[in-house]
Amino acid sequence: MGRIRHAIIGVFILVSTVHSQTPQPDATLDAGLVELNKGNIFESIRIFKQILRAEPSSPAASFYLSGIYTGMGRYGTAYGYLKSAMKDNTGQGAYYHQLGVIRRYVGCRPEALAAFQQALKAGMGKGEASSWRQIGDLQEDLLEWDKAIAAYQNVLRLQPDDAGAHLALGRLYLNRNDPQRAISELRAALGSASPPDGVYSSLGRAYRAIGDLESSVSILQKGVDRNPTDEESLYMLGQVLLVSGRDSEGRRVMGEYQILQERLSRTNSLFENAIERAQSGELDQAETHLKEVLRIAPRYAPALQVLGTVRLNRGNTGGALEMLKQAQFSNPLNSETYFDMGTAYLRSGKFSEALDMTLRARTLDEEDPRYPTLLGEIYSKMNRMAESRAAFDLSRELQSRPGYRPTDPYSSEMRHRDDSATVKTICGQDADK
Amino acid sequence: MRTSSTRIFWILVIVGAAASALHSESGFPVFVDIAEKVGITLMNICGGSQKDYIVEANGNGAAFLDYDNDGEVDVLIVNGSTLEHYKKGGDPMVALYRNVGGHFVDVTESAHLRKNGWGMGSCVADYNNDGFPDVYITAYGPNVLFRNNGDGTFTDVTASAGVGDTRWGTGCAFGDYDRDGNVDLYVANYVSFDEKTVRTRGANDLCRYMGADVFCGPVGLPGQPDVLYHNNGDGTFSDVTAKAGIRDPNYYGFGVIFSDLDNDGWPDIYVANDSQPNLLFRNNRNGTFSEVGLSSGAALNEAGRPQSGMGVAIGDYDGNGLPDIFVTNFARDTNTLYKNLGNMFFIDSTVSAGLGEISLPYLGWGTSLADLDNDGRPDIFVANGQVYPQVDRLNVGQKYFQRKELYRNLGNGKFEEIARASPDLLIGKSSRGASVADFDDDGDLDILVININDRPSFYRNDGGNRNHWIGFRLEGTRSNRSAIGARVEIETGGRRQISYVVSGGSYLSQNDLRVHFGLGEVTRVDRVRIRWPNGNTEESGPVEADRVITIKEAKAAQ
Repeated sequence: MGRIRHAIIGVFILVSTVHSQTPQPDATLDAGLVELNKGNIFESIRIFKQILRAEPSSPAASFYLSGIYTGMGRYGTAYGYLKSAMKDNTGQGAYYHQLGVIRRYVGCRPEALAAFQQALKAGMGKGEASSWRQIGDLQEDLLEWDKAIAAYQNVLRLQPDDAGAHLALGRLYLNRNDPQRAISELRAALGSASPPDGVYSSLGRAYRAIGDLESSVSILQKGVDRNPTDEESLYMLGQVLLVSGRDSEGRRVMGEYQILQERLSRTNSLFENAIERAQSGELDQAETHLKEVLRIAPRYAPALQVLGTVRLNRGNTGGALEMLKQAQFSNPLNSETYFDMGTAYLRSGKFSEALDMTLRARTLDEEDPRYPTLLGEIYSKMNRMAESRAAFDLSRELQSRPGYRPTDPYSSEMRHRDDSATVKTICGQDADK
Repeated sequence: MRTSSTRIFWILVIVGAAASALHSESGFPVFVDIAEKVGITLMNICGGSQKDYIVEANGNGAAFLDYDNDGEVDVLIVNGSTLEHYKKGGDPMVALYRNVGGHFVDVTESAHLRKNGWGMGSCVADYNNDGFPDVYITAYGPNVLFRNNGDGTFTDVTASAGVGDTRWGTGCAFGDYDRDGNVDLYVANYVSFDEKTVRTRGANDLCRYMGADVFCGPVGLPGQPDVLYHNNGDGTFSDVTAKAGIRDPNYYGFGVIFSDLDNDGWPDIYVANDSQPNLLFRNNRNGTFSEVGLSSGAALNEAGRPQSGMGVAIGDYDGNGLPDIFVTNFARDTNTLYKNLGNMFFIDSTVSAGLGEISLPYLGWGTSLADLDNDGRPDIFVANGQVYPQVDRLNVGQKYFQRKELYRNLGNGKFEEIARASPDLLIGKSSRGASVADFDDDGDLDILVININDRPSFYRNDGGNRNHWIGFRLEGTRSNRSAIGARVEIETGGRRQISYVVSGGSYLSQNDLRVHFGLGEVTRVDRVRIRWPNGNTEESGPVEADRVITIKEAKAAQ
């Protein structure tokens, strides 16, 4: 969910830019934004999609949906909405910025950079610093560190307190063996209202680089106290303690780090194993592994969701719903969770709940033919035969589309991947590239 | 034509003059590619040009060894195959070149080394203590042990020796971990690869690099565990991986080296792993090891992140008497220099040593920490090359063909990149393995590099021998005969240097087993102290510089 939150924040930054450049938004659009603002992302999606059904050419609704789907990691869908937004309204900086974000996430950095540069050219208004931040990150990725530094400095010219830019600059100076300048930037980042992740470990590294081991230990300890799962700070702290000759403390911290690593690694491998078991039909073993994953990481949404699916397919409808409700709480934007809940309610004879959940699934993902199939079954049980037929027809139509591939029921939202052709389209690359 | 030739002539003159100027400015030797001139021309085979599968991308290594004990170091090159050929048994796995006065003659056939498969790398040691170096070849498919018969021929003894691991072997190294006088064998394994099940280029986002469709893996493919073989002393080996506590969590193993990293006289094992933490197995002196990579600081980089370890080199770059570790890594990441602080603790000194930002565009493989200018301080060489040919179509600051990196040790904990003085090192290749030896016995170290789907580069060191030097060829009598693991310490005018007899290391490659020291302007070594692999020590000296001295381990205990 962190990534979703991050991308949604990005959308907010751009909202003002888009508002300033589009005709007066109507009340429904505002309602969607209010929901977005409150964190009710599902509701905002529903509202924006409603707008698009009424007015398919609404660039603002498409734009916001693009931002939300970017945050959900559904880049192909996000790009589709962005393309719609740009169709009749090509000149907006915010749209190019959004294009840059999507391109960056799918990995085509030079093309992303070009989009951000285009965004600045078209005008980003209050979002200009955001574009420079992205440019800085991309230039760093492209090993153009001087250009990255210049970009981050532009951010700070526009927003002197931008903690992220201070951190990025600090890290670059540190990696350029200039720890004194790094310390100055990192302290600025640390002084912000909410210091970004990574500032403690970087500052600890910088202090170590100048030989101030005491300050290094102190800041790293603060990082660990603030977030006990901050792996970087924990590792650095152990190392600096050992270098300082504080062997027993260093060994203890490295022991904690090792336990944390083993926990993460065990969780990942158990989850992978559970998916493989489920895919090969060994549902009892899959359930055992998933329970173990959740014992280690009780709120791990993908495991909650997959365990729900496994239980559903083992005929344990009540147990499935119990898990799926938790999964929905952890991640309210996974269409599979709603689909499974719809199936569970249908099996329990709770048709209106089943309908509500399946419509939610369909709101989030309009491409998956399993959702209208389930809707067709629910409508049929509710004796709404015309709607049932329409839903089955839609399902068949979706299945007949080129490139359709049946969905793996045990994939989770973490596993959604855009295919190669979609990535190339997003990146504006030639087909043979 | 005349105009063109004239132009080329003047370009060469200008380039040569520029190189000489740099050379004279820096005092650092120039490296000249003489591969074709000396007859090292084997075309590397390693899959197709598009690198659709990971098995096609990792290339091969090479070894320097004096297989016929004539005093001239010979060359063994390992070769790969293609998926199509491999279905029919593969291609010749090795080529052996005999050194005849500085020119190399292919003697593969007469040496009975013709064997087909998909070779990867090699390591060298006299595993049966008969006085002739034997060769172990790792492979995608069964590995092979060639016993040197002592008459210019080899025999494949894999089956009888029990070392035919069928997994995808990469790096290997010999070392006598239990000090029983017989070298044991560590083999790093990579991933489980099956063309039938592995996904195609660009199949998902694990098969993309910066937006381009590239081969899948290693991430997403199951790793394979490494293996440790104990030498039983009767021509056979036993798999003691579990018994010896070698617990490799199926990491993607590449470079491996035996080295006494804590200076307790017992060889430890360091493994560079691709995309995962490196492993350091500390020798418990009782036939078992403990994995201490994380607590030692040598598993991750300074920020606590695993890198993509490829090659590994050992050397005392800061002169504190302890071996430091240098690991080559993937592009957009630094290679990593782990400074040995003693007590099996290392600190990542990459950035402060000046090896950070400069190495980011390059994907490093074969490497050495060796004194290339004979000034008494080990320098760093790195062979580079991307694994994805597709990067050439991206504008991302990287190319498939990459230049080499050469870092001069400045003696103050820092290095200076000096490859520009050697135009041949700047020619882009997609290089993999690299080995170091003074092949022409002129007193400076030369470098052999394997280039994927291309002919090798053989860089002759021109000018390193302006400084004085000394070499040692060690022969164990109670220790293993190759003296692998011996620590050599020399003292010149109060200054000490150390080095080791090392098997394996670099990337899939083997350096000359002779130990080489640069002496600067010093013409005499005051004292030589050898700690033999079995722990016994011997001292000798003074000895005159500029020669290779053979030292045989004393039969009596010291």
